[in-house]
Amino acid sequence: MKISKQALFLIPIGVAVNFIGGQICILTKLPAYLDAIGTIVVAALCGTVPGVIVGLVSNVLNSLTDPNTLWYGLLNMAFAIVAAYLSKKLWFKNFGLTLLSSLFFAFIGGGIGSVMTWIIYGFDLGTSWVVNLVWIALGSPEGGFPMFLAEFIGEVGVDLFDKVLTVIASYFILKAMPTRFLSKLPLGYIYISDEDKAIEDSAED
Amino acid sequence: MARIELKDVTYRYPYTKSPALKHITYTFEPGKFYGIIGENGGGKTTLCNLLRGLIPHFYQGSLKGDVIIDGTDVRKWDTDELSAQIGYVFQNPFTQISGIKETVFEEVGMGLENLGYSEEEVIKRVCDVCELLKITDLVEKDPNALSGGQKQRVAFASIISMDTEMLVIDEPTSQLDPEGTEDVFQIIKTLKEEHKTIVLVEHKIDLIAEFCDEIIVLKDGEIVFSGPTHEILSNRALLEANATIPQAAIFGHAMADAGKPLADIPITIEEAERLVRERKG
Amino acid sequence: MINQEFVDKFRHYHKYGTWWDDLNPLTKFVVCFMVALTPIYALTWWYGLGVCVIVSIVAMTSKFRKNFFSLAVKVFLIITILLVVLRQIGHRATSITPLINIFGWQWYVETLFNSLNRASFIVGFSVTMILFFTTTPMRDITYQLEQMGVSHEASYVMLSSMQNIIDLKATAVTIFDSQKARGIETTGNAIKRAKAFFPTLAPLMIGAMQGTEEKTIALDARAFSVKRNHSFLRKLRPVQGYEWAMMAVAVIFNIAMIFVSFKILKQLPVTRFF
Repeated sequence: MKISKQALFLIPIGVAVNFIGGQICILTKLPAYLDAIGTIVVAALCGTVPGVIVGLVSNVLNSLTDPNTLWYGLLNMAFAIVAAYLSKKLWFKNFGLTLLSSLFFAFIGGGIGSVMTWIIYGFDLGTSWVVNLVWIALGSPEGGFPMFLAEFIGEVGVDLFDKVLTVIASYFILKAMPTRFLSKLPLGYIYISDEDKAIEDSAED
Repeated sequence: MARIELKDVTYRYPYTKSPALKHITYTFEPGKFYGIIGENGGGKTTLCNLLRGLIPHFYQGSLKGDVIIDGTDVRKWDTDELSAQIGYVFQNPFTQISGIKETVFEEVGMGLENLGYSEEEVIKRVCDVCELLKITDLVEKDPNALSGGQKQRVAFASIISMDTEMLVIDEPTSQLDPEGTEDVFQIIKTLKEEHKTIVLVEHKIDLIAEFCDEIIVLKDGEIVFSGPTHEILSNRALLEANATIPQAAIFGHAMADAGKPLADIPITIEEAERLVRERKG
Repeated sequence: MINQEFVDKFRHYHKYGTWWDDLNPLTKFVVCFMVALTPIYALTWWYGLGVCVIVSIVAMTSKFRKNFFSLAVKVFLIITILLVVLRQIGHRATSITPLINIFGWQWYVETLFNSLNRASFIVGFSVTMILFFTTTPMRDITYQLEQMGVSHEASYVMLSSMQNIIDLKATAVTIFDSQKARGIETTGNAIKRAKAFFPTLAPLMIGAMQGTEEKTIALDARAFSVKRNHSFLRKLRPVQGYEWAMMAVAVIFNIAMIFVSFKILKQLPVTRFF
């Protein structure tokens, strides 16, 4: 497996961006994680493998302080795969499609995430207050509302808000990347503006 | 090693309209010290990238003409192997610190580790270079927590420790105070005495005047003047082109304008002093 | 003059000076990981607790015990308390023996032990892995991985990520503080806060990404990608004979625990040690 040099050196920055997103949320007390921006941006610019590595490394570093999160590394890797795929399909060039993509990410983060939580916590609710609130609000325990559905709805709901902010941030970061930088990345050509492509075509060679 | 020939080289960065370097023809001889000066955006850093082999290996775009490094076309060089042959120090000290070493000592030794030198050789070279660059009191510190000036010295030391035959140095003193700048130039002088080939981009023209053998003046990607330092810097055309020239040369031209010409146009303070003294005598 | 005592350290294997810390990272990892998996099979509160106690005793001998305890205690308390409390909401239907009644909120014994068992699975795993990570600096881990043939690019990615996190976090905090000082809205509703921060922090992220261009050149100049055998200034003691034995014991213990867990522990009533 050969990763281009520029992509290789972008990976640690992607990891740091994932962490900074989380940091911003803590500083601003925003009820989100924003911890997948780096994964999505790197996957969109460099492809699946670098993106997956960003997700994996972020997760390993996260689990240094909370080993319990190690299992959720699969989600980060899934984000990268989806982001690289959507990037190649030009989704992140269009704001509407970008917003739509948050559904995929929320489904992975919240949906598959809730399945994992369900398994890790012994086929029962995890440690999320929101999920428990959903469950109680829907009339359980008395109403007999299925717990898994509560977990699922709760986590997807929380995740959707998070992922909408995440894809918006990713969209603007991708848009703001200078052409000179993009030209060195495997999928960078996707995000080079038409004006710059025209310049390249009409250059005095 | 380290003889570089540029033959009618024109280079354009990708997605830009016009070339950053136009029709450059020049030969860099082994053991000589070259100064590159000129306005910002004139192509100085691009020329460095070319000499270092980053063009066309790292920077794509369109390269025309021939770049011959030690007899071999740059396109045929293994770019990684080239890094072991030509040292490169550039302006920004922050990106030059690797970020993966815990002490300055290990940071300076990193290049040598990558080249596989024995433990004793690495230790010896790092010690020597730290003495040379006056950073012995920093060796136990975290390189990531240093000031800009300190980082610049460490970055410089890291490259010098690798003892390449040729060095391309792009504004190594941008973060240094006058004293630190003088130190760096003394080191470059030492390197010159060791017969290294040195290419230096520097705004501090008085220092260039003192140390360089030859000078290249770049403007809009073209070489407008080039040749032996004294010849170039004392050239009146340079003054008329509004280029930065040494104080001593300005003084020399002013004396000539005032009808009291010196025997020659001085380019360093020492020369000016000598010429003025001779004139009186 | 260079401190010769400091330089001399590079002529020997790096030593922390304590038995556990000076074990090779590979030994520490295999032992910790093998032990960390066992509470998952056991799913028994007293077994998980026992693992935590033994791990804590080992951690006491480490130079890094402060880091270990500040993390481990946090993880232990948060997971245990959250699970115990939340399970009392979730498990009513199957519970039979009442424990206490808190203002009308009925707690059950079976639910309590069920949640403790579940917590022991997560906590036992986490605390044991925290022992490994807090007593083994990342560069020791990457050093050993390189010895085992992993590329130094991988080492770079791990170590540089950690440094970048430190650097970017510091910058983010600086930006945040100056924003606040300039009176830009950092409180108020969520949308407002998000709006205030994207324009300032996006440039931080973009700038960091663009910086990789120079980073690539800088590391290239340090012969980063040259394909030669590397040498190492800082070296760790290779795995010793007795360390192989420790690893073997850990693996055997792990396999044994699979059998013990499914044959014996699962047969016990959950409240047996109550």
